[in-house]
Amino acid sequence: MRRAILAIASLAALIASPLAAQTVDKLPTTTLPPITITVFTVNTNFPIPPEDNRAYKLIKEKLGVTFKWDIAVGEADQKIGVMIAGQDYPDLLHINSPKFIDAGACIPLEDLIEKYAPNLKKHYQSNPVTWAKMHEKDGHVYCLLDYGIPENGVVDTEYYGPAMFIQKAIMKEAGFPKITTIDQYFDLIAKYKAKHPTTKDGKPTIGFSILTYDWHKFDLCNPPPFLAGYPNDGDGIVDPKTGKYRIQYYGPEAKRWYKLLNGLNDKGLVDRESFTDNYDQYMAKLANGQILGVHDQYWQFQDASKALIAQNRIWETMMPLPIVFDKSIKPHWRDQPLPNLQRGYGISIKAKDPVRIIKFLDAQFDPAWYKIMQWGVEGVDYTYDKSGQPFMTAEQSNRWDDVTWKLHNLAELWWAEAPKYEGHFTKGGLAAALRNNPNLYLSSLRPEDREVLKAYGAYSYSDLMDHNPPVNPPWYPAWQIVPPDGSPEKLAFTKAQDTYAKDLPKVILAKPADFEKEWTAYADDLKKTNIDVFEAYIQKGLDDRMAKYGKLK
Amino acid sequence: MTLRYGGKLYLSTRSFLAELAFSVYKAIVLSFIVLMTLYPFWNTLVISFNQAVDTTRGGIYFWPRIWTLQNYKSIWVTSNIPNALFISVARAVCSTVLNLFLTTMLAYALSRREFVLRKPFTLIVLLSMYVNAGLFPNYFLLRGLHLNGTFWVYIIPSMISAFNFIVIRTFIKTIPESLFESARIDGTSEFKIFIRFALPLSKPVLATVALFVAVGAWNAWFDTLLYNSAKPELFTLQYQLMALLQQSMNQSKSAADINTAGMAANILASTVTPMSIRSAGTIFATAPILAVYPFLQKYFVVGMNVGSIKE
Amino acid sequence: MSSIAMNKPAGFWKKLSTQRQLLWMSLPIVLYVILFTYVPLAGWTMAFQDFKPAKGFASPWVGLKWFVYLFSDDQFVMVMRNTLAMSLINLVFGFTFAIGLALTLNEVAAKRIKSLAQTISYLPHFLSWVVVAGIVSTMLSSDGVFNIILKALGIIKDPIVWLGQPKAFWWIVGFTNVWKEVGWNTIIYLAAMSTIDPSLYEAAEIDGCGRLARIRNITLPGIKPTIVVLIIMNLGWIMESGFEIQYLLRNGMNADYSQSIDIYVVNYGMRQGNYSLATAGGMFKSVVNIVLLLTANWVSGKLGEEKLV
Repeated sequence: MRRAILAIASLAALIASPLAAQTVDKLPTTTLPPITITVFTVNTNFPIPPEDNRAYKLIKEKLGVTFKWDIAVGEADQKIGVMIAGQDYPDLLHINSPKFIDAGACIPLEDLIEKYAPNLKKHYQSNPVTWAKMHEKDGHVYCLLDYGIPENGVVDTEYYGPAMFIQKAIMKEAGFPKITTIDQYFDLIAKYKAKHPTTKDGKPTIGFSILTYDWHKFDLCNPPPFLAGYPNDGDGIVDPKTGKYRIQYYGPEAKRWYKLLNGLNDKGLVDRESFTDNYDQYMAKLANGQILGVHDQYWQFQDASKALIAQNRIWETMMPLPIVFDKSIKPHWRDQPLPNLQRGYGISIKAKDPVRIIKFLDAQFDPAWYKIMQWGVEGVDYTYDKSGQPFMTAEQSNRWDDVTWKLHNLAELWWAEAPKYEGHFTKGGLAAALRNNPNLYLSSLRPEDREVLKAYGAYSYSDLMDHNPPVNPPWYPAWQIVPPDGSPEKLAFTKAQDTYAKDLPKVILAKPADFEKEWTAYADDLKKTNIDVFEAYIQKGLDDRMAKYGKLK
Repeated sequence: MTLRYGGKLYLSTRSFLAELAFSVYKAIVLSFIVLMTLYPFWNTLVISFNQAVDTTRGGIYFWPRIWTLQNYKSIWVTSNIPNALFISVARAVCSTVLNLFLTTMLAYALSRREFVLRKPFTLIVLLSMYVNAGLFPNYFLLRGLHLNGTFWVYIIPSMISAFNFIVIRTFIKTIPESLFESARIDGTSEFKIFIRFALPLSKPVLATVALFVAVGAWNAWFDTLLYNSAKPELFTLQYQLMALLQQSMNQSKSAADINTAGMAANILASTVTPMSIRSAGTIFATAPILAVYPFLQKYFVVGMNVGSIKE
Repeated sequence: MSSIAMNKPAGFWKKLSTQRQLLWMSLPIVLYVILFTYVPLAGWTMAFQDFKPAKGFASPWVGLKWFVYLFSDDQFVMVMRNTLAMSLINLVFGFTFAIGLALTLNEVAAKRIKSLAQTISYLPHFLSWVVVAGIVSTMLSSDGVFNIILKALGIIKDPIVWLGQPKAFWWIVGFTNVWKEVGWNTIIYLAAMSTIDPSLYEAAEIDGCGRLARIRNITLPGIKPTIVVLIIMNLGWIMESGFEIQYLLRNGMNADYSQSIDIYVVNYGMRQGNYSLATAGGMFKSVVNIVLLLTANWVSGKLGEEKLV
């Protein structure tokens, strides 16, 4: 009943606006026969759309495509395992690991793209290195990358990546100093903590906390390379001169970092519960403004910031800083967008009509369709102002908080893994993401954030992290090289991860006098895990990449 | 000296004091257990009515800080709950009925001491509880039987539970043999004895087993993923709730993906969090069981008393 | 069992033919069990292969590789120790607390209070482990209820980070299990108690038996068969110390005491797509379980108690 009313309401709105009717009429259409495409996806972010969804109805009407969904909820890997074993594939597979490709579940796409998909061809071949990387070892392309290929300039707004985070209040109180080194960072935190032992509601403040729970434990071992000025190669460091890879868990940078933490712990600046708290407990501390500094990636604690924003405690939310060990090091925290290799839709060997499917994929890859799926309908959900920038009324903007509205009007489930634009539609044109267009972005900033950004002369927090991140070397990043399932390399890697999760708390919590002893014990334990097989595997992968795409830049 | 307490007559002060001490003990133990076991459920209930983002701050113990129905609302609007409820109820009912009937029949046959195949059969059934072939062989079997994509994949593979078999058999063994014997002399067939005597006499244990089976069937979700994930019309309630939980868990991550891709980042889009969805989902899924429960409870509190039949 | 069939074939068939009705009632069900449980066991061959889903059961044979990997792993002894320790704690706690609560409930005369208390005690059973583990973590944190109480009682001075205490882990898991399942576990005992003849109690009361004497002489003997059967069955689950609660409460600091065989198999097997190792682990568990089950069953028979087979 409710749904019916909603549907009628949105339809009525669609018809009422002459502008909307015009936009919808102008959408590119097809004359091909209608088809139902079955899609398997492990993207569990969105529910199965209702029948009356506006975007899917338009897709059916104009492009002749109806979707049938198979969403793997819960244990996706096991589901994929039995699908492969039984060769039970639908038309389209959402690839998010090497599993389907390794199992030969997908058909080669390069010829289909060449012949039937001019839009996709232009997009994927816009960067030759990316196009080369999209070819698997056997020389075929199996996956239509979902994102990571920006065109016409990168957009620069919210920062979701890794950083040393600090409460905005600390920077404000210190008069927005420009700090770059880890000593300055902890110095500010120590002073602030001494002055403010508790939060406004009486909870103790915590100098520095580390998220270590379950798979989040990467936060425990990620900082050293960043602090030493290396980009995000995950578990290792690649020497930019020689191209040599090494595991960074027990390198000199790591030792420097953990020795520092060990000393800070002695001064009571490290949260001892870091090593036992679960994710919810970590989030609660952040959401109460207790934690003053943390190394993390913003998307992991976004919900905690929301809780503070809801209480109008903006100053207690975190801001990212590109901190390094000492002044001589150039930070490399923020990197350029990366092609999201082996992530996106692939056509399965069981697909009845691959040509029809690739034609659809190409047709939907059109700015007009992109906007229908993600921006909504012009004249209904947004309009353009005099300068040609998209504009939303408060009411239109608030709809985006409404899950029901999105469910009935946008094509999020399909679109999440579909090939899509990134950056700008045209040179100097509109940003592909609605809210990344300058007017909408600037009007969304809170006064407190404006104050912070103004103090540092930055347009956004991304800008603050790095105004102009260096171009990625062709082999970058090493973390994209992953040993296959069940291989000795992967087993060794898992063991090494278990080892650092077990030993690093001891290293950090040890008395400073015992640091060397604990550190040696940790290094010995790591050596026992056979981690050098993993190291050798990554090195080989990097060597292959360097041979193929050119050495160092 | 005699004492009267609680309508009873006590022969000595000692027995009166013992009784009093026991009452105090009961009151303390039960209150403690009730408080302890009620708390996690109560806490879940409270969180399910508290605003999701606020719950992130922690500290919600006995009463919501900011009331909302949003958590339940988002469960209701984003999935087809009535259909999932129907499937789950159908599954629980079919499973329970079939399980009770077949397991009791087997237990009856194998409780008969004179049955020459009693031991090998019992061993086969018993050991089935301790072996599991694993994911792939089971998948191939059910797929080979063309059960995937059907409602029956929920029912057919789990019609017998060895544990329940042992429980029922242990019970049937306590039923006096004489009851069956007289019927057997009259020439009643074994099947009829089972239907007319064994089944009704086992009511208390069947109520227990029914609860086990029904709750097990009600909570299952993994088979939906393996066999029916492409059939939304066959989704069970727990699978739907699982899907919702995952949607809320991945929201932050997807916001990050979306921004990396330079797509529309909408920072405040999520009004639900995993903890809130999980709490509301738990309450949602438990309520029907709690509603049915008193009807079953009456059987094993009152029970059908075997002893009284003995006379 | 089969000795009858072999030694006296003629007698066996003759007997069986008079027991056709029982045969018809049991054979189809037994065949069903064989089809759905034992036939797929052919898949255990995976444990001797480098199983890859894409190749299926045509994957290359590797003999005992995965068993060797499992048994020669540095962690194996620790994993077994943790599994058995947590299992035994669960077993002992599970039985004593459930029987104790059932006995107490059984002595409550007021029906309403009894059924209300019973119903409430089941509630945690319906909560997922994630919810329970969340509450346990909160209670055990340094500003949690547990530390507050211990401090108030003067037992400790500074709060203890309990989940960072490796040696406390087994007991935390044990008590959490009791908390979640004690009510649910009483169901079966209460059902057994409901079948005890009330006239026995009346007679005892007339004889002047006290409450404890009645419990000892009537109630406990009445539910003994149930207890014995459950103990034997549970001994057959000695390798199943649980997975989720350990998984959710474990962390780097308690890793040496929290890693059970199930966690090991999931982390190094399932999660890695290493299905052969997972199967080898599963086989090993099954064998240990069955040996223990049959031993317990035999011992129980020797002691003149209830037997499963």
